[in-house]
Amino acid sequence: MKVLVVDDDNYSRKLITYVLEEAGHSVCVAEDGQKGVDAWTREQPDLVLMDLMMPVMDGYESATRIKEEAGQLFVPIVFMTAMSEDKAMVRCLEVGDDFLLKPVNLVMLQAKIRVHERNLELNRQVFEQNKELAYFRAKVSAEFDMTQQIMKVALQNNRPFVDGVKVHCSPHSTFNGDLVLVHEKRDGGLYILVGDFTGHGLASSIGSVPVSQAFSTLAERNSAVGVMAREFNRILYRFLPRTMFFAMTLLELNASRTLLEVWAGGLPDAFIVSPDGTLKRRLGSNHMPVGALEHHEFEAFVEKVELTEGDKILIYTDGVNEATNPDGELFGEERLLKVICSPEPDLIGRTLTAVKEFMQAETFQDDLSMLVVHCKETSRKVEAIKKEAVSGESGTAVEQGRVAQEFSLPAFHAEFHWSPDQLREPDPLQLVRSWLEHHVAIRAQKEIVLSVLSEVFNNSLDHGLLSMDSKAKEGPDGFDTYYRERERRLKTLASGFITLEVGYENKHPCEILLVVRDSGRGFNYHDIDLDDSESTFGRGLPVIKALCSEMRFEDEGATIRLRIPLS
Amino acid sequence: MSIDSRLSSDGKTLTIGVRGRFDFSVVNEFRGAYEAKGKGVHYVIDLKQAEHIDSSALGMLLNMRSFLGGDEANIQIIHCAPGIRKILEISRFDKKFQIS
Repeated sequence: MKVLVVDDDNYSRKLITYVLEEAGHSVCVAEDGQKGVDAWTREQPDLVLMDLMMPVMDGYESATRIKEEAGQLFVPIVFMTAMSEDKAMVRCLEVGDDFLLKPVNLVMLQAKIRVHERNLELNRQVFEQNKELAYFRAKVSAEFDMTQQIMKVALQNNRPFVDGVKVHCSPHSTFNGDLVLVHEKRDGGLYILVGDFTGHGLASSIGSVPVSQAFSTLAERNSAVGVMAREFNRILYRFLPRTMFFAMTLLELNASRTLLEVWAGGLPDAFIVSPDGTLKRRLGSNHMPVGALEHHEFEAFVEKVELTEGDKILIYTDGVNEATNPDGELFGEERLLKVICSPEPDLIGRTLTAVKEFMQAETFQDDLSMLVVHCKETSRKVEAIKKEAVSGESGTAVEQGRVAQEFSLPAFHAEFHWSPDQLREPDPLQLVRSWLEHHVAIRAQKEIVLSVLSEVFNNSLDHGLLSMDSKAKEGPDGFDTYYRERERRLKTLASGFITLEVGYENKHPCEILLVVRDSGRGFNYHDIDLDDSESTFGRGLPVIKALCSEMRFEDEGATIRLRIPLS
Repeated sequence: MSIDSRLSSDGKTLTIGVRGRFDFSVVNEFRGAYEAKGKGVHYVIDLKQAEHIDSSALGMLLNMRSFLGGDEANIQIIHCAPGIRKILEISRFDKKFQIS
């Protein structure tokens, strides 16, 4: 340790220097207060021994200046004094850190030096740690700013202004663990997502990036709510640690706000409130939160709910019902229902006021989000659709909306071709199916379209290409025998093909055209009673006939041409 | 797994859920689900996750019914999407099964 000795007494300086150097310290000296300050600046010692009474500048003054110059750096100053009255000693301890009585007891001096050496060590450590902490804090803060910027861009444009939709979000920290997304479809319909990641802060908000990106993509593709939920689950199951989930309510509303489809997993029940203020219905959670189940366990079923003009839908996160008052009571659903079941306007504003009053606080303890949709037809887009639809067939607003929507879609005509290798795939129709079920015009009727397609395709494959006879299905093990034989023949199928034409024209009434052709010899379709659906086999064709507006065989039965009505 | 069967806690109801395609691709799984349990329980076929259905599925349902004793069989089909319900009705399945 380097020690500065400031004393005007030559003998005293020499003695102390000798003792300290013996103990292994390096020593520098000064003979008055002013020189002491100069020596400190020059030598930067670790500790100062300071006489009190000196010419030019006394010890107090000198010590005060040294402390000032040292700033945050800790320099212990030990006064040496012959004055033993309390007042002087108290002043020593105010300005410096310790004192030694003169004449200096050398054993005591060495003991004090050791104590201060230890203190100094501790102090220097704290100083270094503080410096590191300050650096770390600045770094984290810079990283937060950067992350915030990235999140802002990633979540941008995900909440456009939509007439009739009001949103409130108050994040608990800089980063929001809640996510509210709104997408207005071209036809005026809406997708709405309200979700809550486990926990809050940065870790829980980071998951909102992949979800909102996927939300935009799927919404653009006009995906069904169940399909979207399944995709979010696939992403988040991979993305999130096993202890983290995403509670979510996902809605799709039609343009006239008369019908909604909902997938709900983990959020508190959403409510539909009638214009007169009565609770019309709950949208309860009937799924596990997103990210909790593996892809194959995930359940995508949705509920469909009819709405009437003036209904309000309220979706909220648990920041509302789990807000606590100073007694530790929860705000709870009952209190919330009392606030929202009223014909008064400003659902969100009234709820926020009620929650704050209950909490007796102005800030919330958790991320808190609310979204209200007012089901009214005021959007200009809807007006335009209605005007356009007047020229079409008369019907309800929904139908008119749908007609208009379909008139604006491009017509398409596509042909698919399967050779034996593609037919041997476990699910040869998969690609066609996933394309068709997303198509706006087809979605509402997708079960029918996909069922008919599967039926005629398998007829072509089984009977046209593999020459299977349905009679083989009779008897208790008939199915088993039939499908085993079918598998055997498919495995060795050397030539042949199936083609599928799919067509859609944007005219009224909307229909989809399916033409399935195979390279087989066809069959005698005149012998089949197409109105008999009671027999154990050959059940398929009567069903198809009933579902289609047109069914025609060509090429002696090797081609079937169908039209399926879409509205 | 596109077929999943669950026995109720009182052991009286077996629910068979079908996911995705309800067609011949699940023929063995479906048959295994009811043959293991046999007669004497109430069967519920849950189609809420079925995306489409074809005549082989209709055949499978009829096979199940006759395996369980024809008119004595106690089979309920639930959660049909409107399109699937229409197909079941066209095939007059509503006369042989309870559809809800």
